[in-house]
Amino acid sequence: MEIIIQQLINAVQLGAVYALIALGYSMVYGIIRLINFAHGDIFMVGAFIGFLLAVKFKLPFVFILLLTMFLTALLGIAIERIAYHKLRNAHRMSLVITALGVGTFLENLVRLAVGPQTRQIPAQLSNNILHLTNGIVVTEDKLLIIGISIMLMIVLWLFVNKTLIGKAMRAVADNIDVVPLMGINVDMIVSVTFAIGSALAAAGGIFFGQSYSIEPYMGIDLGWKAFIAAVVGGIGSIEGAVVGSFILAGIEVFTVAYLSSNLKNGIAFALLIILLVIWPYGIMGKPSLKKV
Amino acid sequence: MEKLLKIKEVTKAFGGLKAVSKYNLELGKGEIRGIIGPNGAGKTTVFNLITGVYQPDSGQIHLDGENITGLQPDTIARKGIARTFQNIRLFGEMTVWDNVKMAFHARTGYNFWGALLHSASFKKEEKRIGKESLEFLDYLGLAERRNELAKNLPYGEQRRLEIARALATKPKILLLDEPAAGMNPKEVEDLIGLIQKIHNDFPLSILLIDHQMPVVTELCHIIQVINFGQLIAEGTPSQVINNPLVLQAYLGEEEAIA
Amino acid sequence: MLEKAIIGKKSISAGSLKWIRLNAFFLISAAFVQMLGNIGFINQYYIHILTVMGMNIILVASLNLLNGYLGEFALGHAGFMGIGAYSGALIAIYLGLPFFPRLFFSLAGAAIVSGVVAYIIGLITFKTVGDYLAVITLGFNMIIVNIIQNIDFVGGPRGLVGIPKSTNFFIVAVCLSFTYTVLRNLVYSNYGRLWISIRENLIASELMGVNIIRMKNLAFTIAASFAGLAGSLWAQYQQFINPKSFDYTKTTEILVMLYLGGTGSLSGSILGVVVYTITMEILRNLLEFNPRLVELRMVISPMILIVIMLTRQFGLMGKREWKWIQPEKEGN
Repeated sequence: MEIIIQQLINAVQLGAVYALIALGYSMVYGIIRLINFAHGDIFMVGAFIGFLLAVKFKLPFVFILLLTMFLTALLGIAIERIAYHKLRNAHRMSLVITALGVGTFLENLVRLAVGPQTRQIPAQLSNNILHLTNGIVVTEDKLLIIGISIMLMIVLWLFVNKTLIGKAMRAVADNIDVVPLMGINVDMIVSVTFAIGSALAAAGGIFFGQSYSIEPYMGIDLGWKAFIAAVVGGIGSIEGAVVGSFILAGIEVFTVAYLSSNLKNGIAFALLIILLVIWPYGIMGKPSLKKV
Repeated sequence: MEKLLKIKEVTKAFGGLKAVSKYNLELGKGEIRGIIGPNGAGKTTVFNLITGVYQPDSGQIHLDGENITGLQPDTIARKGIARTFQNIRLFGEMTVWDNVKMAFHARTGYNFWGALLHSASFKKEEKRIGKESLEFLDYLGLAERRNELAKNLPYGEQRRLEIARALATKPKILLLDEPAAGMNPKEVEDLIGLIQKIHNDFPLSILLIDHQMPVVTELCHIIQVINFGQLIAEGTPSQVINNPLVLQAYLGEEEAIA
Repeated sequence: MLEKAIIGKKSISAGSLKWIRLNAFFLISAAFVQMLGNIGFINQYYIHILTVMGMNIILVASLNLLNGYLGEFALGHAGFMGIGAYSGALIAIYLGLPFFPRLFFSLAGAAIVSGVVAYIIGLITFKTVGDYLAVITLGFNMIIVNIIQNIDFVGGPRGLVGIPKSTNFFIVAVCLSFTYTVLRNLVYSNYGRLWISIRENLIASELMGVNIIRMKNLAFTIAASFAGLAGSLWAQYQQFINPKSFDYTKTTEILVMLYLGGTGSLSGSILGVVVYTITMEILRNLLEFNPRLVELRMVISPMILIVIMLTRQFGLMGKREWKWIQPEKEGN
């Protein structure tokens, strides 16, 4: 029983990182119907920005987190403006291909800059061990990471559902063609979406870097996992992205614990296929009506 | 006599809203029938139910005595129902000719290996398909345009190409979804002549949707009027025009617009 | 005379004759180039570049069937190449056949294995809706690399060594000629019209009676088979393969060449591979003085892709086709 709860805590931590990435995927898809294949790499860049800030400037954790989120948000906006903006009305495949190009570009650029070796973000958070009941132990940093992640998700939810910009975002997601008629600045909304998505991914990158080593190609694997999570939850849905992330993380952690770590990708993939066959629109996604 | 198409008590709802409710229709061999109704009355939904794009929640659809309810759209199409679309759906990057040649796919006399080898039978068949599809284009006055991309045709010709493509599948039933949409009175007149000609020249029944009265009243033997997904009147054009319910439906709509 | 010998008595139209002549000419030239390479008259480096180009054209053109003609978006081509490479290599190593049967069975076997795997994946995938082919094929690509890494029998992450050398430039040229004959013939037939119709308007195509799932899966299976063929050629050319060479990076490279040349054009696939390969080789030679800078190529390659997408959405060829690829129109 203790072991199961212990694993559950691990799953929640991993799920939080997946969710922070998956949210960006889902929001961008919701707004401009783009599978932003560069998103996993934005997460990676975030982790490396955090790494540099921690190593070179030795800033306290809160500043590193906020500064990294801010810088990565700018990167997200820049990518959208430079590479995607012009293609918004082009064939959808061109946009996806471009995203793929941007992702590969970021990976190789970072690799060129810092080299291919793996690195560790120096520990910023205390890893004091807390003893919960029944011999369940958890480190403080884990709790903090889970706590901040959930807080970020709540802030996002409030932002999207309660603010004017959030409402405009949902309007754009609903029908991008009608929205300009209603006096909403679509370009601004798209930029905000990329900024938020990238900032969340950056936070995910830093949290990830607290427990695991980082390297330039890590965004491919994690980005893909987060994307599965978003699709499983129902792409375009914020709640879906979070639910999907925790489900995926849970399955992965328990596969590693009780079966084999070699199987974890295979099982994630199998899960994706099974879920898509059962729920073609994801757990929380809405089916779109075929228009003839 | 067994009717060609029989729709019995078909209902389709979208999230609680009944788009079509207990709808009935019978279409005999060689008939032209029209369905009219205000915008959003459920006309296109009827077509989508017949062609299998939507599955009915209840009720049955029979084609030539065979129950086709719940079949996939492509299967239904191959059984002899062809249609055009309200918002034209051509294969834009294909030539006008290829748009029609494509319609022969279920009746090509070569298989995969023939295509792979460009065998003698392949060549013979392609020649036949080329010739026959050109006849369809010629029939609709598009032969000259055959090597242009479909997306480059003007609007009226695109509509005709859609009809050519549908005819080329040799359908038993042709469904025309607002064929006169976006046309001026002169073009509408030509279209009416064209549909009449098709009806005389081909062994098929036609089901036509429009919200322009003249098209339907001039062409159809029997007209149905639907509003809010329900059949409110059925009869000859003169019977229908004088039906108070119909007048109300149409006047009601005008008031709503004004 | 040669054509007569191949075709026998059957009457043959001018169009086919032209294609056969073209291919005969291509193969004779390829044999000649190979011979000059063997006697050292042409630098082995150039023969190598030509061979790699040939294999890449097979990969790109087959993906074109899927991403160009059918208008789907598959991201796992390197995965099918990997399946072909490993199955071809195992056939070549373990069946102990003499040269020609070994070559034939390792190529055909690889194509069949890749095709069968694709067919099964397609059966599941094409039932789902939306952009999921991209997701599933990309995921599949990663899983297949992951699986191979975990099989000790084929060397795991270290790779598989000791594959007999059967591929040279001439063999690749023969396979290329075969690939283009098949792809061209299919594209210019009922099948090609149906694939393009699905790309242009899926709903209209379905309502014209096209069995969409069947047609999509057919294209997917054929494309994967050719990727498998290319993989097997590659394995028997390099004599050494490791799972890393078939990962997502290779898929990206194939996509770059495809979109550079232009989707929906068989000519574009040739042009894309040639232009990309030459550019990369020139860059390699220019940057050689500093090994760090050679990695710059990896940054430049995706940049090329982005710039193409922003400036020429349909690649260098657009949807045009060189005249010699198109068959004579029947029924004119």
